[in-house]
Amino acid sequence: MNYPERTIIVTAEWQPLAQQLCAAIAEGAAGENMFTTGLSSTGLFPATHYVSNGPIAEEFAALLPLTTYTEDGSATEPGNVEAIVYLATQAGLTVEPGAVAALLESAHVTDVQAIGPFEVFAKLDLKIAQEDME
Amino acid sequence: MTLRPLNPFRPFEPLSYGVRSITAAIRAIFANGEQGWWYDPSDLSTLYQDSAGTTPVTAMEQFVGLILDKSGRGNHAYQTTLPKRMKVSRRVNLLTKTEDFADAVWTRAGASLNAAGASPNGNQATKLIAENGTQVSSVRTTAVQSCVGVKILAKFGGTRYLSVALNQYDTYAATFDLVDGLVTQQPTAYSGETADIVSVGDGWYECTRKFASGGLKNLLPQFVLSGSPTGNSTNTTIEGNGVDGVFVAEPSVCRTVEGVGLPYQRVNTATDYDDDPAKFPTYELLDGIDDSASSSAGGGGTTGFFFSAAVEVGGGAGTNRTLFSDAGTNTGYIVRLNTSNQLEFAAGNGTAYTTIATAARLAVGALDIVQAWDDGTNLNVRIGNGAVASIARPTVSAGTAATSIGQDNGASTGYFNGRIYSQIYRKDSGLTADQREQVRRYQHQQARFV
Repeated sequence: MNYPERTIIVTAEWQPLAQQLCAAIAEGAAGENMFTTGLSSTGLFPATHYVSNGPIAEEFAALLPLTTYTEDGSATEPGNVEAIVYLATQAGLTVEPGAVAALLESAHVTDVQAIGPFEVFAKLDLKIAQEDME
Repeated sequence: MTLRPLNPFRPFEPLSYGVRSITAAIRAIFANGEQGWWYDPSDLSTLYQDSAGTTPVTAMEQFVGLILDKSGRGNHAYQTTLPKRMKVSRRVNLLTKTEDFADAVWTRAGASLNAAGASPNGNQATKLIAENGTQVSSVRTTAVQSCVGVKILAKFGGTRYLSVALNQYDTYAATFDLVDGLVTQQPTAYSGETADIVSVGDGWYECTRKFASGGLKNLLPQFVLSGSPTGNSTNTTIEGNGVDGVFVAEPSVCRTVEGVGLPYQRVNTATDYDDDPAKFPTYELLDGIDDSASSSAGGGGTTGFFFSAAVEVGGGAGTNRTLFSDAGTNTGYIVRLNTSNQLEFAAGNGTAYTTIATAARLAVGALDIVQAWDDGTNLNVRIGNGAVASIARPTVSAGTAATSIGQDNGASTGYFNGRIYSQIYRKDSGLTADQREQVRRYQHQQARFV
């Protein structure tokens, strides 16, 4: 199986649903404890977004939206709401299609081989959240 | 009788240690059942792609879900969450398509290409030709996030000078004379830069430009045919005739000084490159975002501590980056790079942490051995063979049995960004000075320091 690398950023509002979906759909524990790294524009908590960065199963990558950047701007291919709802249901998780659609709409997914995660953070004016050192 | 030349990449054994091999000396640290762990990514038999240990790591750039502990204590390191797994790698050269200047990753300006046989090492060579009527003739790569060195083999092909520039406006590039084998212009764009040219035979020269420290971002390394000994990236005063040029081969861009000192690494793609372990050291690559691993046991020491790792810092300057932690709330031990890039060692007594940090700093792009130890009297910390910083130890309150590497223990913060070549941890002992030095030498050799 191939494991494409993705940077997946979700808003804090949708973090719990994103975590539930990943934990339910992924094989074994591979999808547990995702989206735990907080992001914010100030680099401080509270986090406004959460990120997971790294390999994911190819069939899951195909279900997610994907944003690509060019010199002229960016373009986003939408995710597959119906398939995600179906897989979640099969895994015993009941989700509203509208919630999944809203989650995918707010998510920002990029290919790590095309653009590094820290470049994506810069484009979105986000930094990894840390405790205030003052 | 023919004498075999010394292999600079083969670990040697200092005779003074009186052990059969230096790895035997590491094993001796755990010979009597002492607690701790020893993670060695260069031993692929200890790496698995999944946390259950059913799918071995078989190639570089695969992700690691389980690292077996070589100490004999069974304190293996796991990462069950797929995206949080670190990667095993021997990638040194940050370029791709290093033997195909015609590929789209290379941008040419006023330059045409001819295949031109082989370099002295047998690798593909290319002649860069200044196109007829051009005044600027160059080839450059896509942006490189950070590097400390650029290297290329070059040979006179009718054009005498080659400049190595780092961006499109690099007025004071490094310029090399390919007839007399001289550096005719030392680079001055960045602090601490140097340029060197070394003959490698048959008219070929190794041309190197490097900095004192890394962390420079969004560089565009480029090789510029120059009609003058003081060429730059935008105006070389060359008068192209469509025939003359420079033979080039083996381009390299590396993130560490040590990488510049390693042999040329052919890179086709990010996963297709020369990964010969005899030439390139193996490391775990952590992304600084969510990569980490943990053991479920081995932590919780109170009477002493030792941790040592060969690390290269990839980023995260200005943030805390944890290498080891078994900390609870004001308990246990923490080893990390702090916000000032110092190596910091903390031990908790249940109420507060006592902390000591090195005066020396480990900048982005730097590769070194980091050691921290609690000898029962003091907390001590050291980078490489530099000065030891010490402070009186507290009465340490036990942290958790679990240990975390690459992140804060029990929190989604403090992710380490960079490469880890090997790690050794001993519970309840700071080891002897001789043992610490053995570990340092072992890790020094394993990471192929220059």
